[in-house]
Amino acid sequence: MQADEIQELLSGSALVIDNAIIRVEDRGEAKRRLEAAFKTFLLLRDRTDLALDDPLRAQLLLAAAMIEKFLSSRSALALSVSGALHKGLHKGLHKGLHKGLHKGLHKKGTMGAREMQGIGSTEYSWPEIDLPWKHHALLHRCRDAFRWDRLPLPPPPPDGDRLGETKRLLVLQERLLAPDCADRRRRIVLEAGNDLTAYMQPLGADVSAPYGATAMLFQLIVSLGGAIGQHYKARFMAVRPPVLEPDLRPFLPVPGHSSYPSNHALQSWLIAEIFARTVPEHPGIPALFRAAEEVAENREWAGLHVQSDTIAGRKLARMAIPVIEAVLDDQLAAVRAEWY
Amino acid sequence: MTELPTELPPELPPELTGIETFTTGADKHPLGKGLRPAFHALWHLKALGVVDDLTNFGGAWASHQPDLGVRVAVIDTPVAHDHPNLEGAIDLALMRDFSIHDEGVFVVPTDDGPIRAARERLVADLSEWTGEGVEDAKRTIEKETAKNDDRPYCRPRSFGAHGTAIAGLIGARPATVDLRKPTFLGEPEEPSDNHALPLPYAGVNPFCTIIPITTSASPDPDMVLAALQYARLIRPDIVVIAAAWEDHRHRKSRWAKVDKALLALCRDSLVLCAAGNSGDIDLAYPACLSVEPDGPIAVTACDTAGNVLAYAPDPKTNDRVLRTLSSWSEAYSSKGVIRDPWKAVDPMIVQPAEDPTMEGHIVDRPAEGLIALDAPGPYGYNPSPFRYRPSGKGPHFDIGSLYCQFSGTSASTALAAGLIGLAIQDRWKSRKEAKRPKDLQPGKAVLTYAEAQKLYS
Repeated sequence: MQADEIQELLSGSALVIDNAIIRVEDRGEAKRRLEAAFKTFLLLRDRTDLALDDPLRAQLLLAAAMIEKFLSSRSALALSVSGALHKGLHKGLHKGLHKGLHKGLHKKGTMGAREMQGIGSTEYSWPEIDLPWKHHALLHRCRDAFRWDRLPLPPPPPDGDRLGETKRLLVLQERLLAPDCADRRRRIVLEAGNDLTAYMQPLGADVSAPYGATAMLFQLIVSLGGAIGQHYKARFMAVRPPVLEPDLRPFLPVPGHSSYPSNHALQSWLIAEIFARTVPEHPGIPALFRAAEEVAENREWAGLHVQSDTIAGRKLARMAIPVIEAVLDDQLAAVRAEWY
Repeated sequence: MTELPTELPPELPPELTGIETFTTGADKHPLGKGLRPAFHALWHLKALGVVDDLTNFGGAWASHQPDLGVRVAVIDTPVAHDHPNLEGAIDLALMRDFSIHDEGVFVVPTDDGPIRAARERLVADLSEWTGEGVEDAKRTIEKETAKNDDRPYCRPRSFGAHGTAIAGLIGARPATVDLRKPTFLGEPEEPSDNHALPLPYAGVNPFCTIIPITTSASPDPDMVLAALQYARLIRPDIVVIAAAWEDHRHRKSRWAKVDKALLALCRDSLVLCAAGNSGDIDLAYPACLSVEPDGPIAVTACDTAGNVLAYAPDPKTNDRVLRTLSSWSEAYSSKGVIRDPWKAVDPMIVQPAEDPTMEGHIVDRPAEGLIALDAPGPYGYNPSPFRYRPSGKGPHFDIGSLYCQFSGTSASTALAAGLIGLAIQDRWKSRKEAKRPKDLQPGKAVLTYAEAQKLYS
């Protein structure tokens, strides 16, 4: 596009921001319409012979209505096509300010480790869902379009390497029993059942501001992500760390399905990634990513996964984003509406 | 009914139509608490000295040519490349997404036309591309160019708002789209449901080419490293990084390889990084690397008088921090008050004017804020109420979802990239020997178009 063409297009009309409305004022077109209306009006106003159903009479009435509209509101006649600029727009960019806001919200939902001792599902009861059969049906209908069952996830390392990884788990196992790890132990138990507290708290959600659509989205991601993860678990059939290293004493019961990739890592990273894409620049997003990382790592502390399982879960989460976004499109809209 | 005029004036005088000239004066708009004066969406182009006025748009653009435009890589969330105001601005062949795979994926599939030709030229350059992890990326680019890639393509959907806003502020072009009004809402004189609607919006440099390089919000050093390596491969003149990749104070050693790659990129291209929006705490990462010799240039935000805004850092000991325009925001601290004079007042809350400690320290913010592009349809910062996702020229159901208010040092960084790009093009146009884009020494310049020209004179 040449400079003179740009200048001509810009000078022919104007984008105007008027409070919460953005509109295009096309100066030339509006003027032409007004002139045409005046001409029509002057030509036809003295025609007393026009029948009720005469098209000319309809034209006269339209012209009169247009002039009337102009006189009552001149801005309305400018070819004014408008849209709303929502009041909550882009609020996240002022991170400094919104961190302040976030802190205020956070106080209600965050407690010290001692205060949290008694917290269970009764204090933080997030919405629960039955099996989301419609979404699962859609996920499977999308299989060939998104090839989510054939994503290029590398196979797990051989058992010898995975056995090497369990050395770290033995160290974590000892540390977990220390008194200062009481809070981590409590969270490991809570997260075993896919409780949403770890993800909701960084966003400023608690019982008084539960953000139901967001909680519902996270539940859906847990369910769909779990299904995708199970597909790869069944494919690779990697044994759990306690099978490789009998000295491991898992903190939780060992699940019956295989180890690679970690579904908790997959689900928690999917939650963080999808939320960050849905509500851009929510001030809690960095904390949400940290929470996702911790939920994934806690499964290593519990002796249920080696690190390569966790890394694979995270990789798979990134690759599964397109299909999850497609399947949950409606829910993403509901979440956006909840925060903006 | 209002009494109608009976004579047709020979020519409608401007004061009758009220649409011949546009002013931001408050006299044309209702005023009162909760109501603000209207303003022109491109007011900042005049404030920055890019255009002389908002009627004819004469000024810096005169005689610029699209074939002499700079190439600007934007490392950010995805850019809605089919936004009508970005038609012709985006390099569809080299635009690449790293949010799904570390090796990246071309957002637009390879065709048999110009996109494939451009990628084949890129493949020819691959032998000179070195660095950590690039071997896998090379193979992937070759496979994609040969249409042998079987990975799922990622399409920018909900999260392209920030990248789209940045791209628009830098290089948007005016456009015309097809607007469809529901018939039951149409004007009585509308002959049809659809009509052509001009979208008179432009970025600072509507002659540049933008190459979006997509990352997500995830603090993932491998993903960022891959994006930086790719930026080196495509050799842009300017790189815009309007993001904070990780909390600067909690950055761990795993980011060291990213630091190294960014500094390597700075040896080839001019890299501009947003300073962050955490006020006077410190510069965000990677803008904090501006203290390194030959590091990137940090960009902070100021008002039209050059005063650093409340949310923007102002490091005193760093000489590689430019400042340029952004939107104001309210602030209330012991340093002073920035007040929105049009805001509806809550009578239950004590206002700054009633606070004796703030006497003489209250500043009213102006009505104008930066307007940027937004992801069209039900996505982005300003989602449409319709589920319909328009593409390109339309049909569109509304125009609100195409734009949003924007602010922060991200906006300043985009404007700085636009201004510096224009100054570089000026030198290329006049065939004067210019410094290389990366050789700019910013000092603490307050960037307008005239100041950007001086940096390259």
